[in-house]
Amino acid sequence: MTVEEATGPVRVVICDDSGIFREGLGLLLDTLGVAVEASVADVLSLLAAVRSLRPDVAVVDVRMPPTHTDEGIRAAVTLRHEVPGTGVLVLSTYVDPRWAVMLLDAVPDHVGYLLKDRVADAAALLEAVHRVAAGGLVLDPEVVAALVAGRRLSAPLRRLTLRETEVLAALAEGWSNTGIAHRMHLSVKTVETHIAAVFRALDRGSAEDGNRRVLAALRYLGAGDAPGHGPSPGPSAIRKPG
Amino acid sequence: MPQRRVVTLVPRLALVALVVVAAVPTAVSVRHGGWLPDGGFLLLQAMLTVAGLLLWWGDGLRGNALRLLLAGVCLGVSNVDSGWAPADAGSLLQLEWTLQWSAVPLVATVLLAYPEDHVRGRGRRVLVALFWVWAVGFRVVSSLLWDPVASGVEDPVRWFHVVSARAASLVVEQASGALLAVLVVWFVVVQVARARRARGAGRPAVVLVALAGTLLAVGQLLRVGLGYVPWTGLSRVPVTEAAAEWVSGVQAISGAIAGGALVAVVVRAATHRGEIVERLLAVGGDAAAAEAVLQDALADPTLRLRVLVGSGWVAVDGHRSGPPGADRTVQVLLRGDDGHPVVEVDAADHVLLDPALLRLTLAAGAVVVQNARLTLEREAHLAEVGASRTRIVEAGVAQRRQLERDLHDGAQQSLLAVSATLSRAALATDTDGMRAVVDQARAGLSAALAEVRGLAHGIHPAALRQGGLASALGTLAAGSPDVKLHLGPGLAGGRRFPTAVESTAYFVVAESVANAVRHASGRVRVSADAGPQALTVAVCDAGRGGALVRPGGGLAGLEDRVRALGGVLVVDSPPGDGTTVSALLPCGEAAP
Repeated sequence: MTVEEATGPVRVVICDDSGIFREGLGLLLDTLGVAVEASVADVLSLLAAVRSLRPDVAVVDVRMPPTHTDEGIRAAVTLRHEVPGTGVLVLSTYVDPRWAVMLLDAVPDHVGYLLKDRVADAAALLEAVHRVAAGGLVLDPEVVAALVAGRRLSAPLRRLTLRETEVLAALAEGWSNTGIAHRMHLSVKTVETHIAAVFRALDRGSAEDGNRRVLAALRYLGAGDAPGHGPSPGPSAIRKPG
Repeated sequence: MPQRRVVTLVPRLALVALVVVAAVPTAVSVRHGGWLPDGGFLLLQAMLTVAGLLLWWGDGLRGNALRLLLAGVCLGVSNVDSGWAPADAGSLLQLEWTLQWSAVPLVATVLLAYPEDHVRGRGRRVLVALFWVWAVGFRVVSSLLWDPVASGVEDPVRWFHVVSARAASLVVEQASGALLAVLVVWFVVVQVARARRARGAGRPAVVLVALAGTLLAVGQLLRVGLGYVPWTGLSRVPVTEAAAEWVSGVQAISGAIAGGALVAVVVRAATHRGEIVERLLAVGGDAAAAEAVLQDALADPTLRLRVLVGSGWVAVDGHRSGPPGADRTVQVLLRGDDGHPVVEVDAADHVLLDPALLRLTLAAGAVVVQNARLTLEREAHLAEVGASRTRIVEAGVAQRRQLERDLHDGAQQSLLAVSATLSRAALATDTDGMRAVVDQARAGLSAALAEVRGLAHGIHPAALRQGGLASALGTLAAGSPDVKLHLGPGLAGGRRFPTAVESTAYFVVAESVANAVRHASGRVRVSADAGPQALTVAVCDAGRGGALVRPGGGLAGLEDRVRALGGVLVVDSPPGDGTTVSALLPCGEAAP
């Protein structure tokens, strides 16, 4: 891992109002070789810790006091704007694609949205932390699956083969071509062909790259559900605290 | 029912007999006298009789009815001598002599009382008494001093007299003439004042009566002053025969007009009442319309109805009504079939002016207003049911939201932490390290289980499901040293109740105990007992009291749950004197 090689272990700050989970996650990350610099229970402490410690990644719970709704999402957006060097990995108890899409809409890089269940998969968790630290976008596969499943397939999407749809989902999760090839046991060449087909179907140039193509894929998947795009019963915007 | 027919037949026959007795002398006198005076007289007599009969059967003003009918008889009697009595009829003439003016106080009483049945006010009662003194008192004295021989009575033995003092007798007669003049002026002043003061529905009747009264009074004064006093020979004013005839005619005509006015008043009242009943019946169940008709009927735009709906009084628009205004001097309670007051009529005092109208209007109104009350009650009940249903649904949503939150913040986080710990176990490189991590995971699982168990208990305690209310309350009390539990004999033997009843009773106790422990120190007394029909629970503390059932509050939620089962929740919490929350729940048949 390039970041680790260059600067030593990835440094994180954990923020979760559940003490028992905070402790379990901290110990796990520690075991995984991640340096847990601070472990706090609320958003204000998180902002203070991040400003003073400048960690590589802040791992933030979504539902926290006082309203137990979207504190973590709002803190993530604030942090990304205030402390550009720190990535944010949001951990959520529930699969809620709208929060994820909203977060990735507001913050284009150094950000991730992962289910807390991923603590059971230490490798995936570590991978996500590293990718966010390196500036990438991470979206939990279940969230992407929910996006794909929850969306009534539009005409261009219906034209995609099953394989191409899987590639689109992997794109949305933030995987690189190589990563997708590895996961799907395909050659990089084949993956590139699929990606080209997907973007043709979406009427986009295949020149899209990196985070921008993730966002393009995401936006496409999440457009119907994302805030501000029609009558959505979900959260309408990232609200200010208070 | 023949019995009832006899009861109503006798007074009717008596009335008819009275009318016949009264009419015969007049009819005979018409044959002997002239048509103009005696025809007018007969008309007046007929009008008085008709008005009396109408009052008797229509308004139920029996006093006035009898007075008018008797006045008709007296008028008939006063015609005896001018008609058919023989000159030697002595005592009969003396009786006629004494009673001939009795019609005047009788009619005056009616004219001063109507539309009421009794003369109101001391001054008016004195006036009536003086009329009687004039009509009977003076005549008795005069007749006892009369010299029948000098007056041409042929059989003086039959004329009862104390001493023959013709001059004194005539002086008495003249004094009576002067008194009458005073009384007539007084009477007219009183009638004019009454007519001016009259308000509301009774006003037209009072004005008409005052008009009739003034006509009759002036006519009477003319008759006595110009026709009768000169006959006593003491008048200085010479009255020609023609003038006397003329006066008699004028008086007869004014009497007939006045009698007609009286009949018109009574007929008008009867028609008016018929209209009111008709309009009230057309109202149906509309309370506001019933109020409008009553306002119109009693000529009181400020009249208000207050209807007992549930436990409070409401105005006709269904809103809670405050205390009645200070100017409302008349408050009439209409009672339901069970005798309990159901509607209150607040009105201005002038509605009392016409008691017959008021009585009938309220009697007809009572039926309609009861109907309207049922409508209001149904609406209020529906609104209450709707509101409580909404509250129950909202409370259910809030409970589920809280449950989700509790799960999310508690058990889910604990289990996720266990998951993280187990991930570490997979990463452990040596057996001891792995054992230590697995131990941590086991401890985390225990904690998560305890949280889930606690949550499940909060949703429906296992003790309640397995052992019933007594057992669950025992468990509850055992968990808190300050709680003292008293179980009544009705709960012995693990008696079971419908699940909803047990659960609601349990939560009333559990939440009240939680409140008591939070707000009061010292002992909390929990009691529970059950009869065949109802289950009661009560939680009593000695805290600072002052608890209120606030909308959206915990107590309101309990109240909704209790009322949804048809029960009652009572919160007795005087400030500074502890709080007792008790619930009574119908339990019916025990759960199988």
